[in-house]
Amino acid sequence: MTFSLIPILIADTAGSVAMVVIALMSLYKARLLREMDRDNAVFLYLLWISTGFTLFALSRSFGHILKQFLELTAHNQTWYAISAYSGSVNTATFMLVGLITLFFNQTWKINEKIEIEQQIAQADKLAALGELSAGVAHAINNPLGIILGYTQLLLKQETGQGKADLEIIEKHVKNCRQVVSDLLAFSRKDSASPGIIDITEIIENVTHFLSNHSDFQNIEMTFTPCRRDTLKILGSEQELSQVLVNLIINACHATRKAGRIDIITRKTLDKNALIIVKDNGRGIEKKNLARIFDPFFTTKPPGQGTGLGLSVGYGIIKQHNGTIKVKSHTGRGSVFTISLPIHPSNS
Amino acid sequence: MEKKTLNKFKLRLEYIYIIIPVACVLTPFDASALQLHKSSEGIITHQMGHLFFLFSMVSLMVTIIGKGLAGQKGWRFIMYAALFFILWNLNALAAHFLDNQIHAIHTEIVSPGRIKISAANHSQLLVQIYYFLKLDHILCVPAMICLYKGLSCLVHEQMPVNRPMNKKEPR
Repeated sequence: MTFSLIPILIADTAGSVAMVVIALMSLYKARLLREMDRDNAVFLYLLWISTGFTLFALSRSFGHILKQFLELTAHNQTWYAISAYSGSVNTATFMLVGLITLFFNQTWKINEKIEIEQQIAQADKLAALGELSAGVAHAINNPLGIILGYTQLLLKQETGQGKADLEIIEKHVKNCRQVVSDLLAFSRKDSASPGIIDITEIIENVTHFLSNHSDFQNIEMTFTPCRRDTLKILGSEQELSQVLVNLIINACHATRKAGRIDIITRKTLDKNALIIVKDNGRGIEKKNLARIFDPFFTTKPPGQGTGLGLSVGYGIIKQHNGTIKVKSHTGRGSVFTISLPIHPSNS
Repeated sequence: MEKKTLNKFKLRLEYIYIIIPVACVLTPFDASALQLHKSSEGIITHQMGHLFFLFSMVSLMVTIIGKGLAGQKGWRFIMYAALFFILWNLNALAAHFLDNQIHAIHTEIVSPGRIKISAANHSQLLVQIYYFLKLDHILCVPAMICLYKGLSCLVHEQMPVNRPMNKKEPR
């Protein structure tokens, strides 16, 4: 049975050229994706698999085009001699794609398991610290109130140096009360009443509020809201604003008040709202990453931070049935991702 | 007494590890240490490569579906790419099986624009199927397009919309 060779020739030649062009375009996109988020292991996988596919497309297409050329110019013997090598290279490249795919599929699963185990360990540690903090805070709160009350009474009677000394006592007692208040917030012993709140609205308010602050004059702050849906959750607007203010101020300090902060919101398939706060600051050292949510842990100079901001934020997010994660690289910046369950009323 | 005999036996048994290799070296015969590789091995390896590639693409699809990523546009396209590559591998496996492995098909270029395809069992249907199997770019090019589309969508999703919050609006 004889057939026209033209469809095979066209499909083979045009297909081979198309394969190479599209593979190179895919490789470019995969590189772009990797550059956008260098911490994302899945994007690294996509870059590797695209590299494998490009090698496969190049070897296969080169072999096919060479075959067409040699057969059309009546060099069948030459093609016969080199076809085995061409075929072997092609076999090696698609086996390479297979290997990369299987390797990363497995790594993906293992990484997820490790991440879950680390989260459980962190949650256990913070739960224990939360209990301890609650006990200590309650025990300290009442004596502090008495000290403050008597100090304020004495302040009314004293003048001169004595008054100045009492004012110092009053200032430090107030600082102690602030720490106790933060500890209570962290240990979930007091909380504001929850309601249905719009995340986009909260972020817009927070960014608007912070953009007027002098520290943010040289910071380029962008907000990319989720394009498809409004993100409504059940929670406290005040508490969520507190977490965001904390994260954004930390990001501002990390960029030494002259950098870029990107805030992005997204909706995940498992009905969660993501709030991503990304900065291009100095990043967090690897040794400190596991401790940043611990109470009283701070890298700021003494007197400039209580080390409770992130731990309080962690407690608030936990109370909202959410999670907070951090990814950071020294010198490249940090990414904080808050995940909160979307309220069923969300349209 | 019995224990002593057992120990002696154990001792002798240990010598086996030495005796066997020494015996092998001292009594040479036509051992197939370096195996002869016949020409058919090439196609078998190639077919196994296709099977391996197919398996990895199935695994990729299972991972994407298992992680619930198929609902996202970018990953859905990557899943379609894997599906097209699965079909392409099946196509290639069938074509190679027919022409290189069991030699059921014979091809011959009869004139510059015509090809003669004949089946060993004179089946016209097999000939026609083989002709369409040869047009395998119909499957692998869409696979690459889907991969490109998937990556483009993921890039688009990652791209921040530049909405500066702290820059004053012009009056």
